[in-house]
Amino acid sequence: MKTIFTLLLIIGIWAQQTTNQISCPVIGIDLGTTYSCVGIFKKGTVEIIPNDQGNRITPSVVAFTDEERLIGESAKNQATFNPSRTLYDVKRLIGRKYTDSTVQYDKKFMPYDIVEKDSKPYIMVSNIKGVSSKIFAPEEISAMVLMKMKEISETYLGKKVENAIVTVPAYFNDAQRQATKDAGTIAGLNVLRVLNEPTAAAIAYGLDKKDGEKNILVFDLGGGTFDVSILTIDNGVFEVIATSGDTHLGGEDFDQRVIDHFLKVIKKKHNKDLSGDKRVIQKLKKEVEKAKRSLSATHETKLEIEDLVDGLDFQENLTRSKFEELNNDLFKKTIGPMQLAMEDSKLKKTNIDEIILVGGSTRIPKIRQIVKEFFNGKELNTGINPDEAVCYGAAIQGAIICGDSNEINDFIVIDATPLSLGIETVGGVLTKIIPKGSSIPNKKSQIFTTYQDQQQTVTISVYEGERPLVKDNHKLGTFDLTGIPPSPRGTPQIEVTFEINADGILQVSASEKSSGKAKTIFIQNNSDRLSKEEIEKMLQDAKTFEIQDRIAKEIIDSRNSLENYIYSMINQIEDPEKLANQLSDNDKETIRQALKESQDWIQNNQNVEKEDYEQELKELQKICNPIISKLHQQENNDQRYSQENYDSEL
Amino acid sequence: MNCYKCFFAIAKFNHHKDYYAILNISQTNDQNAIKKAYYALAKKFHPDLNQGREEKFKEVNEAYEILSDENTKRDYDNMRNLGSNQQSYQHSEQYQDPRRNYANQQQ
Repeated sequence: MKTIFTLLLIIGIWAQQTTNQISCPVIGIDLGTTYSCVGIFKKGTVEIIPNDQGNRITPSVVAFTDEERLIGESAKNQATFNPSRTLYDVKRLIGRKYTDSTVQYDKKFMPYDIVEKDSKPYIMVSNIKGVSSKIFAPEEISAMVLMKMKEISETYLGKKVENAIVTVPAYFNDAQRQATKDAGTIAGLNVLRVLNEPTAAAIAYGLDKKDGEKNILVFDLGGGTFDVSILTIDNGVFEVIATSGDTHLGGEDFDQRVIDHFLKVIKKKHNKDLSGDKRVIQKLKKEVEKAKRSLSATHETKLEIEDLVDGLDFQENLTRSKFEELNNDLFKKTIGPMQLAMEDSKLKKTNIDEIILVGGSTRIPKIRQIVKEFFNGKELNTGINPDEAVCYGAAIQGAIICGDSNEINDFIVIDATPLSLGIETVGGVLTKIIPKGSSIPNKKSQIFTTYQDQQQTVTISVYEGERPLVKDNHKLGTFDLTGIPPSPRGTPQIEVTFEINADGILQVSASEKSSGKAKTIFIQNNSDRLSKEEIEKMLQDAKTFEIQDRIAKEIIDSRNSLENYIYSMINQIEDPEKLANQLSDNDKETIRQALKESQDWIQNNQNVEKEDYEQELKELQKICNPIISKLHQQENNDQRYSQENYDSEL
Repeated sequence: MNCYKCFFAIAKFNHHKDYYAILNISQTNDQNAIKKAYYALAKKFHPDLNQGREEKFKEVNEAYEILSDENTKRDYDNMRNLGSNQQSYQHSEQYQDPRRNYANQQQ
């Protein structure tokens, strides 16, 4: 008689989904390192939703000024004046450990403070609305960007939006994915799927391709990350067969190289070391980004910054070949992942039917040349918008999940795991249970056995990565399976099962098949992740910020309406074509006096509440309105009188 | 070696399962036919389109992963063709010496 003895390790279990039908609308959000985009599938097509400035992509930037919090365009525009409180490129920190080499590298260049908390990088911002300093998890900052995208879509659709698909680089690991999902939760979004960016781009490309089987390669080089995915598209089925990449390579790195170059030039020419001056670097960054863009079309460009520092006007030329020379090694870093993905796919280069370029950095001619040469001169497909393709695909995936449309009702996306998942076996070896490139959702079991005679416990340590020894891979969690009946080594049969659900959550269970007792243990054991309490607190903070933002806006609105009233009154009483000639000098003086007093009051009361402005407006109106309405009445009477005269004359 | 909690792997797939039947096909070496069968079932069972069919889809995925890889497919086909009598023999041989297995893994 065999009973089963089970232990369960659940990683990140609280984000469980119900199997209820998802209600539309489901928005698709491309949460980029430098820019974000939101779209919705409507009436058989995707609409990319413009922000309040009319732009289809929004900078992933959050800033804190003395008065308010800014997100998007307004935050990016003030970056040079407020460098240490303008937060960008947060995607490069999310889900990473503080000690990661990329975090330490970024810390050197970021104008904001990165500090360590619970072995994770946090961002310290000083002087927020009277608080001397506050630290934010990268998840919180990403949540603010997501909230902005949510708001943009709500304004456009005219209703509340709760469900979303959020994209991540295909090469993001488990912790980075979980952290992105947590950011969505903090933003008040129900993230139905964390979708891989190149997969999303492939959906955008393949939406109208119904002609047989095709192998496509998506080359996605954005602001901060690089992905290569190879997919087979066949009559509405999108199967990811291989994926590779670099989660720290993109346009921001190219900009940094050019900034470093010019800092050296300035040092040589003017004998000034500006490498520690955050404002200078922000000014340079802005101009360098512009120059990089124009070099995709021209061969030479001019950078000009008036008064870069202490009256120094900066003026330099940059040629395309210099730009390429500065970034040569970075550009070539794209070849390795392409090679790897090709090997994993087991396809020949000639089997690739279409090469699709996605991400702003694929506009760089040298990058295009490298890809083209890698594929022996094959023409590249530049037919889809590199900035919007990911967002477009995410919106379609949203519609597939909520069952929104007939056009796409037989579309399915079979995505793949980017990294292998496995457990530690004898000698610190990683035994892969779900190899990279496996389809999602997935369930895999393997049988293991003991190493010693009379062994009663096995330790099951779960790892993620490709290296043969566990010490070189990323640990996700660990648990012991105890109570194995004493028996000779190699006899017990221990079945270890890995399960990845459609929402990307990994669950590990182990059972010993010959023992007599049964028990179950759940362990929540992912130190990389924010705890439920932390997320709850951040959700509260986010709401507080939202309220503060609203109050700040209301104060500004109420002051504006007071000022508007004052200016329109001045205009009325001083303009001879309006009321200037009709008012008695006495009345005019009364109004003038009242307006002057209100103007002085505004001058002297900078930090007052909305109610104070409203009160002041009321007081002012109490004085002015009776005079004006008296005048209007008189005017009406006059008009009626003249009208009657006119009528009688007929 | 002092390793009281260590263990090691002895089987990659369950040879008692009929992966061909799960994919609704008979035993074949035609990879294209295997893929087409998988795609057809994916459209039927993928949880995006069919909520609640996730378990079935995982099973289909497992079958496809074993059969679409030439190496695991060969091993599986061999095991399957050996028949039930020899399976127990196969197993006991694999259990024989853990240390030998460990040595193999280290290579």
